[in-house]
Amino acid sequence: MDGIIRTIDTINEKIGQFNSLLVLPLVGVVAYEIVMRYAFNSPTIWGFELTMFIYGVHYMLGLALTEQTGGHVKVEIFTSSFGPKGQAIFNVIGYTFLFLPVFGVMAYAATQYAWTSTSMLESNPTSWAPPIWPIKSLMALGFTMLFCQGLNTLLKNIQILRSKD
Amino acid sequence: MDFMSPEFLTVAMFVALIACIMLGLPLAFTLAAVATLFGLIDNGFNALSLFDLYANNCWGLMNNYTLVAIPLFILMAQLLDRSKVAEKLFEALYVVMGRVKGGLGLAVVVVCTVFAATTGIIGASVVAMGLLAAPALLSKGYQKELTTGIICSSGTLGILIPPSIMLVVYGGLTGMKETSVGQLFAGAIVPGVMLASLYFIYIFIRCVLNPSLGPTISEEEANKYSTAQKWSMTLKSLVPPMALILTVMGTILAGVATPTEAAALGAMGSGVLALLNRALSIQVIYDSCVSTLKISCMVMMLFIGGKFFSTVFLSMGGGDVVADLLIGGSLSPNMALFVMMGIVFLMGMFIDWAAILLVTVPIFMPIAMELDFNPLWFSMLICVNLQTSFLTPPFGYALFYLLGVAPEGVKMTHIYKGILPFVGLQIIGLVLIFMFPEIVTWLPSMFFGS
Repeated sequence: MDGIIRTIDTINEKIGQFNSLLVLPLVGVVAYEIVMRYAFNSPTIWGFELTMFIYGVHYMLGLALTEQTGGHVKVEIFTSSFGPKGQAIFNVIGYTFLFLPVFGVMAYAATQYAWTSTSMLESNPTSWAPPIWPIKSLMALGFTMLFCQGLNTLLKNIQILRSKD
Repeated sequence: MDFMSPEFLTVAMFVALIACIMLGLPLAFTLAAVATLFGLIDNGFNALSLFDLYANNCWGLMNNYTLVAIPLFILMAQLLDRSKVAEKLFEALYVVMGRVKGGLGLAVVVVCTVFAATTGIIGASVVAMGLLAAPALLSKGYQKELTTGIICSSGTLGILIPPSIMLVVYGGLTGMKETSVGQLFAGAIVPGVMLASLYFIYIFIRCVLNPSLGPTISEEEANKYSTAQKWSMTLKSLVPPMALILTVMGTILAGVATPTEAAALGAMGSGVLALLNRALSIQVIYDSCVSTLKISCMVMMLFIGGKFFSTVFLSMGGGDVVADLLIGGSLSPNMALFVMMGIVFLMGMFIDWAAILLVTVPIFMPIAMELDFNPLWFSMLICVNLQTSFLTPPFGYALFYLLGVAPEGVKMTHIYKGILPFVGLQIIGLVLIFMFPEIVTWLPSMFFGS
């Protein structure tokens, strides 16, 4: 079990950290667009869409890392009064019955969605017409990573329950 | 009883949401799970079509240009936080305002207001002031309750005073011209400054009436610097953030840049500021990127969960059920408004602002339109209300941020007691905006026409 946990953690962490740097080209592309529009009076045809692609991939591939570091906000009104084991029980229930079924199917559905797009090499109906199937595939990857990370949270809580105090 | 009627499902959906939230699972996942359960009941357990709809929703979010401003504004705040702008300004105002009764408290309000106008998230200013100002004020003998109240309330101005992530989320969520991010930014300036002024006046009056609450610094400490030195310290620490504010807000209000573009300029500007303050390194940039990612993803995950929830809720007819309750009954428009504000306020005591926004706005906004409220005015009432949610016990985020960094001897009870008068000031602010809508609408009409 330790091996699975460590593998998933490492993969999601590495992808997430590398992906976090995407915000820098995001700044660059937006700034370039402003300069081209005002200084050279020639706005690009690709700036607008590229901006959204970078931003979309940026957050989709970071969801898992945020889950790993406990960054998704939760309300602990009720559970905070329990000890670590008590909280682990709530987490096991929550992740098993709420998270895993929903985000498992979500990862599957997003993969289907990306597959449909990839099989026809879909591109955006705009003048630049960039291929969007890679972006949709990355969206599916993001949900798959998130699902694995949620599974990891469940495993970690099971370990808390099995450990002797 | 009809278990499939929209009325029953609406109530059941909210009951289920509250019950599941209690489990302590991240809110975004809870929203998605409750949405899925009721979405399946509503569409006859056709999982494929429901999740295909979700996937489409997500793809729509990835193509929302307005929301691109979120990571950019967060990056700007992260870089600024590491450039020590707030710290320098506080050090200058410490000697300049220290001799006034309650002056150090007032200095905190000023620093936070300036900082709020350069940053769109709140954690940073509450933590920075908690680390720097709280020990300074307490060692001078400031009352613990007052000190913590000042820091929490002023620190949360960042979420309201533009640029603000909350307003970007709001604008991106409604997608209406009347509540575009630019309009919201312009509309939030006066209410934000008004709230800061309310804090300022309140602290000053209390410290004049009872000087032991907020003692002044000693003459020697204040005279360590000459008047000229004080001026140059203040200017040096005030000019760079002012330049940044003018760049970001100026370009938006003048209509030369979209909020997204202004956010990119702001991120570059704060990078330059950090460089000038010799606080920029590869490590700082990398750390800023990683924390930017985590905060953006927290917001976007809520956006995904909230989108699922509101999609299912509205397609189930829940929006009409709530609208019937609020409009169809004998409630006057003002009563309906009061009820909606009350709901947001109550939720704010327990839940994070983004979740409240994503759940309530898709339901309330159509009702507000039906009641012929000015959309911008209505939105700003919600936003001030949500800013208050950071302060309201038992679960105001600002209170916990401060507790995490507060000096030895500051207990949660001090913070709870200290924040209550400021929550009162927030409510006064809300009532003022309610009675004088011009507070919100005047500035946008100056810049964008009415």
